[in-house]
Amino acid sequence: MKIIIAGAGEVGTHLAKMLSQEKLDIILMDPSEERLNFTNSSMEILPIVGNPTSIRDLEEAGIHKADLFVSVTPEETTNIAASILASKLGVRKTLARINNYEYLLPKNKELFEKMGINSMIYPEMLAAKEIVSAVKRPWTRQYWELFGGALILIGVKIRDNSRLVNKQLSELLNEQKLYHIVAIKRQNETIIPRGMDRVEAGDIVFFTTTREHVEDVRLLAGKPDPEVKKVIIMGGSRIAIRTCQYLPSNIRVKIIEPNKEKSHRIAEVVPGNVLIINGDGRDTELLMQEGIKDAQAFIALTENSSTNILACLAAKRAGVFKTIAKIENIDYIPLAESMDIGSVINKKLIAASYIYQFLLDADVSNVKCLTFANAEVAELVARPDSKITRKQVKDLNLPKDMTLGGLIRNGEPMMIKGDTHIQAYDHVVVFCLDTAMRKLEDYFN
Amino acid sequence: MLNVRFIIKMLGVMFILETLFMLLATAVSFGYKEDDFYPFLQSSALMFGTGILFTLIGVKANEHTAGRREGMLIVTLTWLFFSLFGMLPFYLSGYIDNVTDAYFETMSGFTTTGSSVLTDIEALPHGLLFWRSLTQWQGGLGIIVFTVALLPIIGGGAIQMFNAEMPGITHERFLPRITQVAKRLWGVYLLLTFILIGLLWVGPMDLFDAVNHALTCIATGGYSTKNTSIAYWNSAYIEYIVTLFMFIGATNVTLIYFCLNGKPKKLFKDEETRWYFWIIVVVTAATVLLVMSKGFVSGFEEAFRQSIFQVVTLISTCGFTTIDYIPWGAFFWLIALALMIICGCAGSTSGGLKMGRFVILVKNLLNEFKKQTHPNAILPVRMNEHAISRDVVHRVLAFAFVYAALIFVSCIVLTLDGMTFIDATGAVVSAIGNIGPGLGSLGPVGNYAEVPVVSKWFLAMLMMIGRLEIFTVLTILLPGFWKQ
Repeated sequence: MKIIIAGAGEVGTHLAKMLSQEKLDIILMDPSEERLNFTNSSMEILPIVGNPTSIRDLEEAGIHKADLFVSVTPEETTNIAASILASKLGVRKTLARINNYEYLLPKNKELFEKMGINSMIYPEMLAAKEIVSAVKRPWTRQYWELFGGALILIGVKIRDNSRLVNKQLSELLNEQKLYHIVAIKRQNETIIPRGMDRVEAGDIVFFTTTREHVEDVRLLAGKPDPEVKKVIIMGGSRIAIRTCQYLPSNIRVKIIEPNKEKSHRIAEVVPGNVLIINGDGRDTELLMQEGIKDAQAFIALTENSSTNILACLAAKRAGVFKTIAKIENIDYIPLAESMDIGSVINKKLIAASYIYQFLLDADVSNVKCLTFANAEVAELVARPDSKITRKQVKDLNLPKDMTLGGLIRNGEPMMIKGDTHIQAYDHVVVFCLDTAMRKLEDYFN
Repeated sequence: MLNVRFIIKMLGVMFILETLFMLLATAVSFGYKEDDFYPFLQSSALMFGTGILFTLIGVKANEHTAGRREGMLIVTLTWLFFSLFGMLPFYLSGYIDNVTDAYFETMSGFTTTGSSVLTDIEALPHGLLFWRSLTQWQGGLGIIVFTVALLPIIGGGAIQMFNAEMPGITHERFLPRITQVAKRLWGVYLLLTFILIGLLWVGPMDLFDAVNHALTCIATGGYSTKNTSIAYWNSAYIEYIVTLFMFIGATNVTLIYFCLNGKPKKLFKDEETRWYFWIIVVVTAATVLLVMSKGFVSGFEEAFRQSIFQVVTLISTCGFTTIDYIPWGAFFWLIALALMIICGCAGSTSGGLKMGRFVILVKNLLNEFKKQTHPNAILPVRMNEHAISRDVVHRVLAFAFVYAALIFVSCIVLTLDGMTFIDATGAVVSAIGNIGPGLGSLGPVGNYAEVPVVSKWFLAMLMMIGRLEIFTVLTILLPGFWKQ
């Protein structure tokens, strides 16, 4: 499968790197040679210096033979123009990054299809949705719905007060039907736990469970569930505005924005439950004055990753239950996780994994991957007569770096136990370290 | 931390692959029922055994942490070890009775240099002759490139190795995956080889000679099965065909691929190729005038044929001979020296500085002259209508300097070892550019047998340094490479 990615910015670069590891032919296009230099050293990516809106450059890249054209330059208009050109020049599918919610409305879908744009991505909106999901369940680090919500993946930081601490997983066996611990992140290492492994305080533990048992997982992890009534957002970015629009209207929101003109502009577009404060979010006195003590959530969304991290730490000190920081520097993410920042928002990771899913849907393959913590989550369908359907799970001798998170049989979600026998056409959630990705095929096909 | 296991594993895999080539030569030897059969069998077994051992040691290697340094080390070690195993048939069969000569001969083969220590080539059995030619053919496009084409090596390691071995100024790929690129390059290479075998066989050569000469001609290596090289046949047809394919051998393989793939414009519009072509035309014209006016050969056709053959054999770094150009005088020696330094196109099997670098050097120099009168002018170096980044220009300048410096230092070493100035200069330029014949007593009809032992080892190393484009090997020799 040949994929052309236009725009070697943060999203484009990350996406290209991710896809090049999947045996796909990746061509990365950018007008700036400097931004493409990284590909020469070690990446299986073909760099092409060129303008995505130039017909000659697109043809040079072999657009007529490509399966997918992804335009993720910072300019919305460039992306739209490039996608239209690419589609008319013969590419099978196009995807453009946009900054306008209007374009995503279902009634406009046909219009864009006619122009040759098959799909659009709005990274700020995706980021806002993720923030809202984090605010709704402030006790989780990660909250993902798999198979359209039938199974839930939750990441929780475990502290001393949890019943899980220092217990071997085999001791928890009797409760396994309610949930399954699929991965443990300890410092920078991700462990796929076996029966002998213990949960330690400070671990981030990933559970799969069904919707009814989310509450049990919370109690098990020893987490309170405060209702979020008041939110403070630092930095009036586009993500902040979108977040305000998605948050339920019974939550009171304060946005702190240092730029006066910008504050006025924001005030015009946000709903009535949002109050704009013109000031600096790093000013502790201002925060106290605006009632950070009664806020349950603090969201730092300025352009500066380090400011966001520090502001979140300060808010945590002030007693805010949930902090969310936007961190654009990927290398800082593990650092932030170890520093007690509740959730981390990274626009390019969100955008790249969304495009990744879109792409795998388009492909015949039924693997769907979400990248979290050096591990992959794959939703697979067991083929008739595949290795995985032959024996009970405990007799399968699954590799150490892989575990089964749960399954859907005839639309019913189920947890998997040792004596579960997987049947053909079961949808199974598999967790594995990135080393085991290739072994999956053996078991399911 | 160096990923030693990965290095060992890759070496092991390559030994196993190389055994296949050696078995090919063993089969030839078996077919002719000559006395080199058992030495070949022993060498193959030793190489295969080492390959298996290395692969087993490195079986648990982590491929993901292999980077630049591992790539450079693997490439360099591969070339060193291949020459070591490759010399065994010569040594064990007794046709070359000392390690120095055997190693020199093999390294000269793999690096497509073509300098020989053998005084009587025709005395060699067919198996050894074929093995000699085969080393050149593999070395031409590259051992690693071949491995990458065959094996699913993935990730950073493969690209590093590929870049370290493939000659060129920048390493532009025309397809996203390195294995795809390597496969196509080898496809083109094989196709050209088969065409040439056919063309030579149609002429006065028998099949064995046609195969051998095709292998060494397309690789621009220059090993022959005859003492008098191409002159043995005394055939205008063979000489023109060989001239043409030496010319093709020193053209960018990627561009030939495009040419065969329906994009001939890329080749014919390419600036480097055009310079390469016109330099050959101009120098040939000058040589024709020289040999005609001095009366070295009689008749225009022969003068033209001999001139163009000498020019192309030198610039393409092939090193076949039809005539001894040493009596043509110092004027032609200097022309020869210039051709031996500039050499063919980047991305070809040719050696030397490479035409592309030469073009950049010339253009950059002209820009500097323009800047004397227009100090504030912004003057990028352009190739094929694209401005070349300053980084690349700087790298080319550094390369030219290190090339010149290395020639100078090596000449000092060789003259210290007792060689004459002319011999030393010719040998050094010839070794670093992978050409073959040098000047003085090491000219086209000369021979490296009398070169002192230390100089032979030094020249063998120089051939490898030149083949891997200097930076790869010299970087490893610097202490900074080994520091964390």
